[in-house]
Amino acid sequence: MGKLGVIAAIAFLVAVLSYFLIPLLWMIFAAFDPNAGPELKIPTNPSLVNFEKLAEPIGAAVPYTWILNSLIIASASATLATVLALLAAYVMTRHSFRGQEALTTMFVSFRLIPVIVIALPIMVLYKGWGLNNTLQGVILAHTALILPFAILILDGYLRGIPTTYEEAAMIDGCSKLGAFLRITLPLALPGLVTVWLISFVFSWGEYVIPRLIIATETLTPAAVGLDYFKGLHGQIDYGRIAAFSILYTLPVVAIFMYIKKYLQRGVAGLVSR
Amino acid sequence: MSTIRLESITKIFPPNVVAVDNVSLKIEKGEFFVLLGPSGCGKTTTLRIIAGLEKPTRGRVYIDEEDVTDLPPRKRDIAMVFQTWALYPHMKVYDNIAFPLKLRKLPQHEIDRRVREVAKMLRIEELLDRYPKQLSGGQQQRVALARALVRNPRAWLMDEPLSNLDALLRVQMRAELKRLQKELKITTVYVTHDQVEAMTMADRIAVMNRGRVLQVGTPFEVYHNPRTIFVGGFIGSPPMNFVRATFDKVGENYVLRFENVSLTIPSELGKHIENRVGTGSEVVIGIRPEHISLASAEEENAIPGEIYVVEPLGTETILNVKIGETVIKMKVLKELILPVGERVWIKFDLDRIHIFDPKTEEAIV
Ligand SMILES: Nc1ncnc2c1ncn2[C@@H]1O[C@H](COP(=O)(O)OP(=O)(O)O)[C@@H](O)[C@H]1O
Ligand SMILES: [Mg+2]
Repeated sequence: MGKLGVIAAIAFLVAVLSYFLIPLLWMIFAAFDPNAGPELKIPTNPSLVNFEKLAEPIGAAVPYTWILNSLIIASASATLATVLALLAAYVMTRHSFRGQEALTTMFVSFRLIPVIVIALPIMVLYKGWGLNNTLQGVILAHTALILPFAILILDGYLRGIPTTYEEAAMIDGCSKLGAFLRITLPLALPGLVTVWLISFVFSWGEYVIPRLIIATETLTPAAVGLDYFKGLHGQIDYGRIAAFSILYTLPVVAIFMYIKKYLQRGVAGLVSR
Repeated sequence: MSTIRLESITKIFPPNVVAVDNVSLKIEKGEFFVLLGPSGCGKTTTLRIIAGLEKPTRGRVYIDEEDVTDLPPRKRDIAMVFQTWALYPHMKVYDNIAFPLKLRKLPQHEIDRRVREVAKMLRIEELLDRYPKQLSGGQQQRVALARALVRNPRAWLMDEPLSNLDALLRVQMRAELKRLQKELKITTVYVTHDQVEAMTMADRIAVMNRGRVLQVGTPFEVYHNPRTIFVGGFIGSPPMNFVRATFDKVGENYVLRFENVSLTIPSELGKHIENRVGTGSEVVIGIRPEHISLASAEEENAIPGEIYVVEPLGTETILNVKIGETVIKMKVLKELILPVGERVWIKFDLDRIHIFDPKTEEAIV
């Protein structure tokens, strides 16, 4: 490749990158700019004033509450889903029973149904159960939505860990369950962490369920809360939306960096020989 | 030191794979007992039944004459070395060895003392701080042995523990394992498909095929008195030669005929065969390569043949001699490397031949 070719290639890369990065760049600039507007510009007197303004109420709730609600919903859903998926995957991989494969297929096909289709029946059912407009309601629905994937991932993960280790442990003095808890569980930890984080990210970003189930502003999670910034007072506070967006994005970015590091460290590689 | 007894053990895997077929065995105190047989013959399944990792479909398992058939592995107080060694990947060598003791809630200083003692015995003291994947195959093997040894189990079960080592290390570990077992006098059931391993290590061998035990005996017995064609062919390297022949009586002499050859056999042997199957019947002659020698044409019972393949092994040479359409392997001195195609005369040591019934495949004599 000639010099011209290299320059052309770099120019092309810059163009592609800008296409993806400019919205992100706008968000970062605007978040720290007290006079942010719809145009892309570097803040002349950067400050944290937009973040401070997130402590002021919009309607009945303070935006920070929405982040907190999201944290509660996402971590509870992820934990519940991971624990339940582990129990299911244990039974599916360490015991054999009739209809095992049919069950797996069923789990996957459930998950192929769009969320919006399930959301309405959930809302109707919740009416009877008194779960509408509660965080528990959202958590329960998210857990159910995550579960098929979580089971599938953990099933694959546990299958990858030879049962010989458990057998060795049983001979060394463990009960069947003890062998699983003492040997296989620690070996499955990377898989559990991965499932938890993926579940967290799903719940964190899921919009449809809370949109339908939650009616009170103080119980709203961040994904839905973003809606309330738009034109509540007749005008859009770009700086505040940008600041909120950054807070909303940070946990997800952190999680992906963590997963990457975790997988690169190759804890999974301990098992394979 | 304990005894192990299997009583009519049968294991059928669904839908109907008969992995172990009515096996009864008694393993004595402190004995080094080897289960020998080709891959898939049910050795591992038998061992796992003794360990309690599989439930037999029928039959009972006794350890020290106590019925343990329905006990889980942890209540049987036996140790096992797996073919893949199965060291816990997330634990250091020290914790791997200490694991059985921790489960028994021994005091910390006692655990430490015993781990270090067994590590010293197996010369892995400097490896205690490593993870299993940081060890070579031979080192992992020692750690697996250490974990099995550390709690003085009633018996040691080993499933081809040397098969994942390279050839040189295997020979070395063979001797070391045998010495260790004799020193500690632990009742040992050792599974292998390698007949050399079985011959060199065992006090007694059970030869298995297709889920059945065909013969139990000392290495000497199974080598010199194979009760079936299978046992004769499985033990020894190169294996026993088998030749189909017709048994007959000519005047006062008993003869075995095959190809264009007619061998006059000792009359005592002839009478024996006559009593069992009668003259004119088909038999199978079994003869080991070391019981065939080169001869000269004029010798009685000399068989003409032609050198087909020569396999020099260094300490000895294996000659493949073609007699008609039959190829016979024989062992000769290392210096005797004859050209292919050379015409030779060979002679069977007729006191060492085995006669089998081709239908039942069992030994007649
Ligand atoms: N869990 C199992 N399910 C079904 N068949 C099995 C199982 N384990 C072993 N077998 C079958 O039983 C037979 C004996 O196996 P195994 O005891 O492992 O033989 P070996 O150790 O002598 O090679 C084989 O045909 C094998 O395929
Ligand atoms: Mg095996």
